[in-house]
Amino acid sequence: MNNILNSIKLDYYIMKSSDFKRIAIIAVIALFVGVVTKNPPIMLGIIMMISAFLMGTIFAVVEKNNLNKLYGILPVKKQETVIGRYFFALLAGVIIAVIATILTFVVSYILNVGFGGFTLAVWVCGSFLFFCLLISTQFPLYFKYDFSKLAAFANIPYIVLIIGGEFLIGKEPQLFGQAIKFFVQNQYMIWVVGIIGSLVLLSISTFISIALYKNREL
Amino acid sequence: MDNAIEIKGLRKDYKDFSLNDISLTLPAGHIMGFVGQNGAGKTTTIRLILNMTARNNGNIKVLGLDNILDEQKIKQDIAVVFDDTFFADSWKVSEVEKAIKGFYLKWNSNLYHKYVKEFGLPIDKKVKELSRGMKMKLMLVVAMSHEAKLLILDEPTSGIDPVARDELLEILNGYVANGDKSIFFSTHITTDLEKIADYISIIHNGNIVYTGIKAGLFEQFPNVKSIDDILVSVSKRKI
Repeated sequence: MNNILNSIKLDYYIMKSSDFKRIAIIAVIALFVGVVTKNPPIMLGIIMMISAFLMGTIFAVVEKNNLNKLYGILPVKKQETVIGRYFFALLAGVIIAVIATILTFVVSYILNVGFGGFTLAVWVCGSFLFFCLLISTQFPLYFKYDFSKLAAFANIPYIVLIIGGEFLIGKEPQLFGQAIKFFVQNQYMIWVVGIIGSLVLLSISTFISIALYKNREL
Repeated sequence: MDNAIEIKGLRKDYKDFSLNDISLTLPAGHIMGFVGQNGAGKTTTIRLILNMTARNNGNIKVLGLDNILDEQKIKQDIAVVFDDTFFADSWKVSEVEKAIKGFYLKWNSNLYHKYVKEFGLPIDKKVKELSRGMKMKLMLVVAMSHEAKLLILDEPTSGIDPVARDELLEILNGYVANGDKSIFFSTHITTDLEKIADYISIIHNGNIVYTGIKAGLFEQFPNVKSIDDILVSVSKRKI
């Protein structure tokens, strides 16, 4: 457990060297879109989606700085490194979601635009689930291959998810309508599906990453 | 524990290169120079010792323990310096410690700051702003701050100026002075080894040509005057 915490800390320092400034820039972009569209909750979606993409760049920093050599000499198991990185991503996701939610409330207050609990739940849980889905599809690939080899394909999960989602909604509008009806009637289920779904996705992805990273040469 | 490193029958096959039946022993408390031309198999051997790559055959004991079964235990007691830094280039010297000290049970922050000061490293400078010699010193500071019993160096002097090289050799001599620490030093600059090594292993094309005490080397190769001459002769296949 101690080494997992150390790995989270190491990932924080790796990420600190690159992407925290960019996340602040995303917040400004999201703020702009939220104000212009007068739809503050949309900021949650923008911030979470781009943040998920940026989480992948931690692997780019590792590759650029020969940090695989560092992992090769540290007294840490490969599986602890993998688990640590997923916890780091989860922790970052939660913190970013909280900040994005606060930002949404602030902008709503300033613009005097109200929204209900259902809307908030859908945006918070939906964005967080999407964040975890993107992490879960990207990380195993980055643990298996060098970031530079995959960079060109990094947007594929986004495209597949967006096109796939639109296709499903278009093909089965009734099913989509029924799902909305179910969640309107059982609003607590949005939180249950959002949180449990996210954790299940990350857990499955963690196991896959451990299996892929185990035999990778450092 | 009599030996710091004990390698028996080590084999690693790549498509275009093989390490063949490597065996060598570094007794505890000594310095071994691991010599060979570029591409001879020095780095591959070190990566195998650290279990950074999988071997095809053989076994490796480090500080008396199996290098795979007891990997985490061993890595608490060894330190490694590579030819190039393995810290994020935007980390400050102070952040290097913060990022990695938690992994080591015997990490000593006082020692870290003492060595940083002694080696003249600017604590607030970023890694990317350091010269090659300073980066090497930073890796040494990290290596020496968790009181490692075995120091493994992979071509640490390549690309650094003669003054920095002499400083490094002085540091290494100080490191083994109390007799309980060992150094495994890979290089192709043989003059470094003639100054500090007790034991020499020569590798050529993935094969060990000689391994043993430094004095014994010239008994085995009486026609040569230096390690460099042996390397040249081996590469021309005269020996």
